[in-house]
Amino acid sequence: MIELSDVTLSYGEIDVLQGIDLSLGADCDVVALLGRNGAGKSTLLSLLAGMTRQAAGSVSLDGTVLGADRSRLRRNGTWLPQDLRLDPQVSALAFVKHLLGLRGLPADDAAELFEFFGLGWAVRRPLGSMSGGERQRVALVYAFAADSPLVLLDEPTQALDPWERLRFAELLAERAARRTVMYATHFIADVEATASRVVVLHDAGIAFDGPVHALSATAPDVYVCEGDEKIMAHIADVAQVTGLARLGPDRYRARFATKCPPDEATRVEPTLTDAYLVLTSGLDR
Amino acid sequence: MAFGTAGMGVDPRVVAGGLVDPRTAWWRTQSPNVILAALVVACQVFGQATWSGEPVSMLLVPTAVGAAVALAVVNVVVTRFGMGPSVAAGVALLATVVVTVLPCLAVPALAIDGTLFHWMRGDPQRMPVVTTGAVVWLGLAAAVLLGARLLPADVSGLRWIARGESGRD
Repeated sequence: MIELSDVTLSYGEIDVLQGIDLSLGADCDVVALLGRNGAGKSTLLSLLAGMTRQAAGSVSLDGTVLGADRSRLRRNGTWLPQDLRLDPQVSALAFVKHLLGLRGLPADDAAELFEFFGLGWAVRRPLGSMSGGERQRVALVYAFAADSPLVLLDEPTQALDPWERLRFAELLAERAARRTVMYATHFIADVEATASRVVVLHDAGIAFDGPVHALSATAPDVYVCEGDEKIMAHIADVAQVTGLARLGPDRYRARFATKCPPDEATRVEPTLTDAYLVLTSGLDR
Repeated sequence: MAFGTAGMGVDPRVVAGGLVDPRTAWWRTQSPNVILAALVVACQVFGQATWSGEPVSMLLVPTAVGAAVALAVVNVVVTRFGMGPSVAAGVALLATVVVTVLPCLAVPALAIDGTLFHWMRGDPQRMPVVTTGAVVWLGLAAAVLLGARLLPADVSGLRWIARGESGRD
């Protein structure tokens, strides 16, 4: 189990993470990591992966406080960074075998995982001839074939179509029974289907850490309302808009959270996206 | 000879996560280039020796020292600081000029080819094959390599890896 206690990490004068307390790996969980662009999601994942060190606070693994040497963390987890660079001339199978070899692992599971991700036909193809989504799936094959207790994925579904995201959710459900998976994502709608726990980073700290349904429960009253530009401007002033659609010339439909709804608004069931947007808006309306 | 250059090579962030230090793994991943550089050096030395009549050893030692220093510089620039191949090539060229040319012009004690230094001044005497300068520069390159490998000792101290900032020019 990894525990972060009052962790602070800065890049130059910018505090990316500040006063972070987090415990991970006690249960076999799928943990979704949410946050706006630049919120520190990738930095937190690289810290948990043993690829960077905090400026203050402590990181412990299985009860032992870690010093400058983070090799135990690197052995404990497999990290798949965002925008992974791959050698375009190497075949998918050779790439996965090479990375597993660097960890001293055999590639026994790789063939099964290639099939699972629908890449059985492409194992001998060079990575340069594959689409972005296919390359992303090859990287996921490596992450799960490494078979470590902790898998850290940085926006693993960003290049995947809805069918591949569904397959990814299936894989998480199957593989998380034996390990903890933490993944950063901007697909909030997927989180309800894949994660049991959600961590939201905001303003360099953790704004929420708990079960997914508990985040949904934090959502305030949400309404929808149709109207012209003037009404929309009024709503934007008094509420946190969580969705906006143009219906026609000077005709819009807004979805928003507020404590003081206009008379013409209709109350609707809040979603996880509503809860997340309100939580990270920093507004109290 | 950089990591992930122009989309080539394995991402250093994944290499480092594979329990291998990218600073030492570089030598293995770049071994074809290192061997190629050694072959170029050997061809140049033997060719010059054949045409000039100079003993091979007199040409081999200074050339090998210059090449070794250049490789050490490239390794440090790329793996310790995450720079791209253009910066690595530029710094290596600068270091090679400093090591091979400047001492011959200004600091004779640091010349890697003592005989050449004297010949440039019209003095035909021969100096030992291995000069003090050659030993000093090789030692300095080894010290810089060692320092770059040990400071920081752990990969997590290399900020450029976690931030994915390796040069990709």
